[in-house]
This record gives sequence, structure tokens and C-alpha cells, in this order.
Amino acid sequence: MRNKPADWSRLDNAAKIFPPTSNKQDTKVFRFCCQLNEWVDRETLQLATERTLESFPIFRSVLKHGLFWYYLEKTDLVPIAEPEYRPPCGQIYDPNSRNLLFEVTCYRDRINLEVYHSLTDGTGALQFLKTLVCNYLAIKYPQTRQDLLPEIEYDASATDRDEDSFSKYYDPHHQVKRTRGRKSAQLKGLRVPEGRIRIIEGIMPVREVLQLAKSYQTTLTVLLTSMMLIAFAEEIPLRKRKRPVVLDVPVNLRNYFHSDTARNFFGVIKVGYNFSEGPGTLEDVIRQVREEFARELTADQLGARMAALSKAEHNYVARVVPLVLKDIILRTADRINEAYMAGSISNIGKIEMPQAAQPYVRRFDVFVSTEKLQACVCSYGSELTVSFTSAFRSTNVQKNFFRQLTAAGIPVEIQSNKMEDDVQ
Amino acid sequence: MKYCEKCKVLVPSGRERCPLCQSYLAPSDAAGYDDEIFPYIPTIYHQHNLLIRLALFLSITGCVVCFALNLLIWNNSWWSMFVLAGVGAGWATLIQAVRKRSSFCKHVLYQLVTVGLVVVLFDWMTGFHRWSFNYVIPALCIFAMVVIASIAITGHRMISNYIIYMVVSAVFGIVQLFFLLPHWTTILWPTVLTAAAGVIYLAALVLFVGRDTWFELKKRLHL
Repeated sequence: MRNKPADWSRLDNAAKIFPPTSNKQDTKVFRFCCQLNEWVDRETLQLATERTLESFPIFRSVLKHGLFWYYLEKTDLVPIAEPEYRPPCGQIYDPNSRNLLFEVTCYRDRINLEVYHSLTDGTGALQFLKTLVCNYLAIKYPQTRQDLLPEIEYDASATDRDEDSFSKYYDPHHQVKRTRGRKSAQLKGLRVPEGRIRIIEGIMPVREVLQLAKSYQTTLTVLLTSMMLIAFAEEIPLRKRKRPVVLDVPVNLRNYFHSDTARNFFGVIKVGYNFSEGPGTLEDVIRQVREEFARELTADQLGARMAALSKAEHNYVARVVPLVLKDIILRTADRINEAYMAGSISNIGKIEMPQAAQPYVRRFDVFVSTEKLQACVCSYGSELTVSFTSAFRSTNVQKNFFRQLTAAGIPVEIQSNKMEDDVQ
Repeated sequence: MKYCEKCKVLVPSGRERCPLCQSYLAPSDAAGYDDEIFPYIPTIYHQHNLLIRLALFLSITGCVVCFALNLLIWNNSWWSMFVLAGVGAGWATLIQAVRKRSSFCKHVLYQLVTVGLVVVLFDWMTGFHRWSFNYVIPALCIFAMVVIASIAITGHRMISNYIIYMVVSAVFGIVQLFFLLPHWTTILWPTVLTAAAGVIYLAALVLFVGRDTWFELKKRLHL
């Protein structure tokens, strides 16, 4: 009782935007999925989940409402790994109930980890899922235990993992000027009912896509971003073409500022192309996207955005505004910001597993909740998966995107979630 | 494994149509599995709220009928406003009860504010004899303090989970002293007794569970 440790922590800078802006349509939940080569055993998964939580204490938190800020409070709740029972990326944070901010479910041969974005970002969630899968395999196949567990050990102390890297790298005197945003053309159309999302995922050999990128002298992310811009452009009505199509590209700040945190540490850059001004060929879009990537993806530019956001958070006036009002302000700011992007594409990158786990693991994929259209890209082994989530009924953007790849001779396998109008 | 001739993509499931362009798929020889990666979850169209819609419909009808009768037949006073306010108050308390159902203490506090506003409204509509400020609000505060304290003592969760509600209920008890300034409260004893109870309540919290109270306040009020 005397030396009771603090049982709560502040939300990091990026996490603060999510509680006021998440709702039933855009739940701000993302899913990391690991497909095994065998069906998942629920009880083993339960054990593995409990064991994994020991290495990630921050996952054992609930989100609570203070007078001025939200905060994470430690809890004794035990997560229950259960068979998948609802549509992907459903609501996790509900202000009126106390529950954990992540969910572990399984379906056939897939282990799903769904996380509320206030808790952590893609890197943190992936680390959790990898540890979970290794723990699962170690319980199921005790002979692999010795090869698996030391490899997956997260090389960071508990304080490093719980650190708020935004405040660590906050420099209020950062002087670099940020590039100004442009309003984006928007997709319009009928939406999927019930605030669900339509998932369409393409699986292709990573080597051939890399070769294609190389033939345009660029990287995989730039190639896919450019193709997505073109896919969008074809769906924007002519009279709206004077606006550029702008995509959000989340960036893992750990690559630019050293950090081992398991919490949020990402930034966003905006990449766009105005199809009414340029020829709109793949070469030209790639040229411009490459330039914008080069300009935005510097520690200076990323730091400038981080500093601007942190400055707002550290402002004395902003701090004493009651949370109820902050919610309204943040919601409005978010709605304004929505006009500056048409969708997003996020490259999680190459996912590596310990040697001993590889025979059991078939594939990874990532999905994110959205009220527009977003893509998540990741690769594991020889496969690249591009997963689109969309709030729209129309599948034209996805079709335009994948047809560009198949036209370039890349074999693509398509998977999707069954919606009501697909059931025949 | 199936194949879409138009998109030139493979579709490894039993679907009839291409997920991209909705045209019919051709069977393909390439070996593959025949599995969905998500369970199919049918759309649930909300039916259970028929009762709520019915109740809402009846309240609206009742209000409109009363208002019309008020205008046309018995028009010597604005009595239909009481019906409107009564129905509104009923719905307000019901909504609070449903929204805050997970935490009883929070529910008590929200209900205290809601009912407080409702009685003030009624008092004001009936000529502001100040019975709401004089008696009802102090009584509500005392009631909240007693209820929350009893839950905290008998509840199954750690006392620290209840502290914030106890603090808020005591603060409510003290805050109503301010109603004396604009002379909204004219009879002194209920207000003074409630405020005194609030101060004693806070003192007890600080002296007996001071550490927990301090941690809880730091947590809730961090800037």
C-alpha cells in the first residue's frame, strides 16, 4: 500500500485523436492476421494469449475518461480467445463499458488479433502477434520451444516498451516549415450496410512485384501507391478532376527516431497527383510520387509534423479545456482533415518469423477499419499481400488496381469477405 | 480454384462471381484450396427496438393530442406544457439509465443531475416557489452520497474504483451552497446540512483512504 506503483498511463500523442473520432463505422481498429498451415486450437490459443500478455503489460489496460484527458488504466481482465463471431474490425472501444482494447479470435487456420489504435500502432501489434504465434507453437509443439522463444524475445526493457516516444522526441523549437496540404477529390457512392467493411485481398509473388518496381527504377511502396492513385483517378467523375487525388501514407517513425516502444509511434505523409494537370501515365505518377516521398520522408519533415501535433498537446490553454470540449474540437479537426485525403495505403513491410516457426506459418495479412478506402501491404516469405478495406459497395478501385498488376503479367490470387449481396 | 477471364485473377473459393468485377468465374486447373478466410455473418436488421419505437410513437402522439386539445378546447392555461415536460423528463432519465447501465455509481450521479434539472424545470413552470432548490436538490445530494457510500462499502470491487464517485457526490453537496447567492435557495437548513455532510464526507475520504483518493484524483485530473 505504501509504495503503490502508478496503475495508469497517459495516452501518447497519436493515440489522443482516436477516442473522440472512433464510431461504429470507423472503429479505428486494425486486424493483424496469421494464417497457419493447420486449424487453430482455441484452448492452446487461450493459453498462448495469457502468456503473451506477460511480455506486453500495456495490452492489459482499459481506456478511461478523466476530466481533461483520456488515460489507460491497468486492469485484471483476462482476454478470451474465441472463434471469430463478428465482422472484421468491429467496435472495441465502447465508452460505456470497461473492456480490453484488443481481441484475439480464430477462424479455421487463422489467428486474428484486433487492436484499438489508441493502444498501439502496427509495429506494436505485429510484435504482439508474432509473440502470440510463437507462444502458440511452443505450447502445441514443445520440441520447437527452445528454438522459438529466445528468438522472439523482444529486445527492449519494460520501460522502453511503455515509453511515449512522441514526448521523448518533442522539440518545441523545431523550425522546419511543413508542406501545405491539398484538398483531395473524394470517392462517392453507396456504402456497405451496418457500417461494415468490404475486404478484398490480393496475394502475389513478392519477387515479381519487386522486379516490376525495379523496371520503373523505384521501390515497391512507390509503385503500389502510384497504382492506387491511378485506380482512384478512374473512379473520380470528370467534373471533380481539378482536385488532386491524395492518399495518406502512414510512416513508422521508429525508422527515423530510435525507439523500442510498443505503443504508437507513427506519422502520416500525404502523397497526391493531379490528373487534370499531368498525363497520368504510370511513369509520370511514379515520378511525382517518388519526388514527394523523397521530400516528405526526412527526419526533418516528419519531426516538423510531430512537433506541430505535440505543440498543440502541450499548450497550456489546450490542457485545461475539459475533455468534453476537447472531444468536440478533435472531432471537428478530424472532419476537416478528412477532406485532405481520399484513402490511405500503409506498407507494413517484410514480416520475419523465427526459422523454427516458418514451417507452421503460411501467411500474414493486415486490415484496417475505414470510412473510405484503405490498403495495407505486407510480405511474408515469397508472398506479398495487398488488403483493401472499403466502406463502399463498389469494387471498382480494387478492380482497377489489381488489373494493372495482372496486365503487367503478375499472377494475383483474390480473396474477400462474403457480403450479403455476394451470397447466391 | 477459379479464374476470372476479365481480371485475370485466381479466386481460391467456391464463389460463382469474381469479387472484383462480379462476372462469372471459370473453373481453373491450378491446384489450390477452397476456403473462405472470413466466416459469413449475416446482416442483422434491428428488430428488437420495435418496443422503443412504439413507446416513442405513443409519447409523440400523446403530446401532440394534448397540445392540440390545449389550443382548441381547454385553453385557459398552458397545461399541455406539463405533459410535454413530463414525457421529456421520463425519456431523459430512461436514456441516462440505459447509457450508463454498466456502472451503477456513475448512473446515480448522472441521474442526480438529470432529475435535478427536471425538478428545477417543473418548479420554474409552476411559478418558481423554490421548492426544488430548497428541498429536492439537497435531498437528492444526500441520497446520492448515501447510496454511493453503501455501494462502495458492500461492493465487490476495490474501494479505489468508487472513490471518484464519492468525491463527486460530496462536491455536489457542497456546490449547492452557491445557490444561496442569487437567492434561488431561500430556506437555509436543508442546504446547510447537506453541505456539512459533504465536507464531513470528504474529510473521511481524505483521512481513511487518503492515499487512494490522492491517486484517483491525480489520475482523473491529470493535465
